[in-house]
Amino acid sequence: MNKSKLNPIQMMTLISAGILGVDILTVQRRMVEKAGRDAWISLLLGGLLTLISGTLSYLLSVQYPGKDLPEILIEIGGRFLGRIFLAAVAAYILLYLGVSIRVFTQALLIFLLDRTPIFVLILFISLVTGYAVFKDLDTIGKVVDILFPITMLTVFFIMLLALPQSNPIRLRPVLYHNTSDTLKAVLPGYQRFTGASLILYFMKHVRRSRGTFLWYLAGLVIPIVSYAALTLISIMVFGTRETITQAYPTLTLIKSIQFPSVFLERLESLAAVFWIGLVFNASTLFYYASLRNTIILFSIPEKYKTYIIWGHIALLMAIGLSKGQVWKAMERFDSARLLQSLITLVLFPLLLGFTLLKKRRRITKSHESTK
Amino acid sequence: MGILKKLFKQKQKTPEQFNSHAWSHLMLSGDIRDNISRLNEIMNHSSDLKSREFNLAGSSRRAAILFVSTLANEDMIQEHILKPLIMESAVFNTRGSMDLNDIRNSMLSADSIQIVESFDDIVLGVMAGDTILTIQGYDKGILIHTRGNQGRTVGEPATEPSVKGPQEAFVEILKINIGLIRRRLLDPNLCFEMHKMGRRAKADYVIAYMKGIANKELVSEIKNRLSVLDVDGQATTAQMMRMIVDRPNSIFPLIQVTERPDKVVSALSEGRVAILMNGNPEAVIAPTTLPILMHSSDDYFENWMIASVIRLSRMVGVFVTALFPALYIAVTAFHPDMLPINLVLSITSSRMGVPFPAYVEALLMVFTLELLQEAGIRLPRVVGQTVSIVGGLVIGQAAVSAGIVSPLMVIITSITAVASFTVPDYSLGLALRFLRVPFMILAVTLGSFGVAMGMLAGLTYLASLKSFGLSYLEPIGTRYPSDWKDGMIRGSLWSMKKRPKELNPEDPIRLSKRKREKNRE
Repeated sequence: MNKSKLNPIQMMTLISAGILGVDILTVQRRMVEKAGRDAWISLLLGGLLTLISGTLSYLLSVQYPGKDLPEILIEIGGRFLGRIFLAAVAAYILLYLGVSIRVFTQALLIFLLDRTPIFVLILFISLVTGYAVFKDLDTIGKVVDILFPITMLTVFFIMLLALPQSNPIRLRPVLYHNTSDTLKAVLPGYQRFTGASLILYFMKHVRRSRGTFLWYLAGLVIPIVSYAALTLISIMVFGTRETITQAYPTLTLIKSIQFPSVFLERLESLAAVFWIGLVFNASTLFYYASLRNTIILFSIPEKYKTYIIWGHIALLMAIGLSKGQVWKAMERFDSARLLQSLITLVLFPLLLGFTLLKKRRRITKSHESTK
Repeated sequence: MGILKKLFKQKQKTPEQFNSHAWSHLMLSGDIRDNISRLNEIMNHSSDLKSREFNLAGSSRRAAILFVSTLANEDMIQEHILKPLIMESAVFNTRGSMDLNDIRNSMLSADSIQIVESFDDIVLGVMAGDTILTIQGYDKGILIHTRGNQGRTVGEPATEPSVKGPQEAFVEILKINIGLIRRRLLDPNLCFEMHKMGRRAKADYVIAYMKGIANKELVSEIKNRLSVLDVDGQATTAQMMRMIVDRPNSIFPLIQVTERPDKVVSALSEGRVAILMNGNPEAVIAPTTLPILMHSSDDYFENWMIASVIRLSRMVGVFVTALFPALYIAVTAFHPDMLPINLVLSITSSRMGVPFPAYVEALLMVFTLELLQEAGIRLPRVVGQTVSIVGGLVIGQAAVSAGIVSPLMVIITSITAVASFTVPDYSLGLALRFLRVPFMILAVTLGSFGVAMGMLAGLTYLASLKSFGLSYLEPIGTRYPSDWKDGMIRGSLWSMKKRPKELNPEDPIRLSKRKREKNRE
């Protein structure tokens, strides 16, 4: 009856959910390590860069209506070069997905299930996210629509509860002898908003284009503000030194909240349960992107989609279990992000420039021929 | 998947189907004896098929009527067929000749009359309670409406009681059910399209919708799906509809079954479609969504704020029904550190002496609860109440005293049982009760992580469901924000100016500003 297509407003929830993944647990530590007490400024500047690169990604997708990123890459680069570009994107997305699942399961091991083997957790998360992808993007959109507000409410609720413990003096002096570190941390800050380029996978399925860009921008602003606020509060509560020493500062932040224990003693365990939804959202969206990459990269017919979805589980298990140490996993996470920066800050603008140039030439040629 | 399907796919044999065409092509003859014997043969000389031969208006022309005595209204036959035909037929006497139209127009006083010539029409009519009049020398007959509406009177809804509002429920007779709807919806655009279903036992069913409101595509989709259904015997409305839903194997009801005419009227006014079948004291409404199944008739008789809180409490009831035992197991077995020390001590002391782990205890109690609920339905009402008291109080108390289960488990099971009764739709309640066990298994194996993953998988499944093309979770989500006011909560009646957008109605306006001013005056 109603054709299943994404609504422009869903660009906001999908993009926000894609960005707010496992990083919500570690963003403060990674940023404070790089920029100290001014990490929040780096995040905001990184966010600004995300808005610019996100706009370029949006413009690129608009140039190719009815096509998603893998198809765009093949169209621009041709079968050979396009596949090389696509292979880089596919590798990054798969790596990011595998490592983020690993990092989250590590948090679950610490805060929730200390005696459960990690492969069981990775397998379960992969299975459930795979199941969502096995359905369609429309289903994923609906699930994200429902989960996203709930999980965001918990995030804001926790920030609000942590405010009484915060001390604004810990932020001072702002940018004092720290400008260069703050600026250096803009790129790592930018790398926290990986999901911004997911727009290139969704635009193909959006029902109407009117207002889509504004919803997309809203989808970028929500995580930028959330991450910056979370980092700001963590610095105010713990100070820079303590923030760096914590594996999962957000969960520790919850620990610091003085909550009257009528029914619950450990709020952080409950939050870990709640944020399974947050990680599930991001993982599902990246899983979907990875599926599309694989299908186009290897020219696999749509009817074999099911095999690719379930085949991904083996790859995710391999990435997640390749080395047992969580710290190693996080390091791999950062190297994966470098690839992301290259793709979104160099490759996509180049592709957009090339497309626009090509378009302009075509218009000039057609003008000349009419004359 | 595809390979496995191919491997295990067996060539399906087409069974020899019942062939009603053997007699459907037969036509009436001019010999009434021949017609009587043919009908007797078709009806396998059924003892309740009665025939009565007589002379038309005292003349020598023979005629006969045939009817099924257990279905037809014999008083009506006497008063409106036999009496006029034998004694009061002035037309025949004055003109000396007559045709079937004369008899139909001047001699029979029954309200509905149809000229027929094939045995297909005759058999269907007679089996529905009509009477066939066949006259010597005429190869056409007259099918006269003599259906006896014997059945129970309109009573109160048994499974969907409400505190306020109408207290009428459907009965087994289609005609009365149509009347119950028509009486509430005095709109000439209310359409009732009569169809027949069944290869052997033909049953009348009606597709009801509001022309100009219901989406044409939806109506034709339902008609198409029903038309391809080839059922052997008589199916109930719900069975029939469950066969044509998008996902027939889903445990969640993708149609709304109701015994309340007011619910059907409300659905029709929104642009949905209802299906009623003769012999079924319920109507099926399609499409439906999960939030709609959580609505109760009472919601619309209360203030919107109160109704919204009640609806939200029902949602809590849904979660408690499906998850409460699982969460208890997860917290006690995996995460006792989540709870404050006093609560942990209280739980531990209540479980002292219980020989089973928490999950065995929970499974035992949930199983007992299911037995009690099933017994309560099967037994007569008076005995059912006794079973509930014996089961709930005596067995529960005895089990605690014997140290088989902890008092806390009895409380949890009781809360779960009470919560399950808050779900207005019976089929949805059953689905939630069914889900309890898989969630408990997930809780036993992976604690709250397992429960959370189960919930996510369940949510994904629900989001993928569709009822006649309409997403099962609408209007939850961002697709139709204007429909939120009658979804999980209920907005004020003045705010519901438009019909649900999700149904894509032909006429979206339900309440215009002009009408509002008029009403206020």
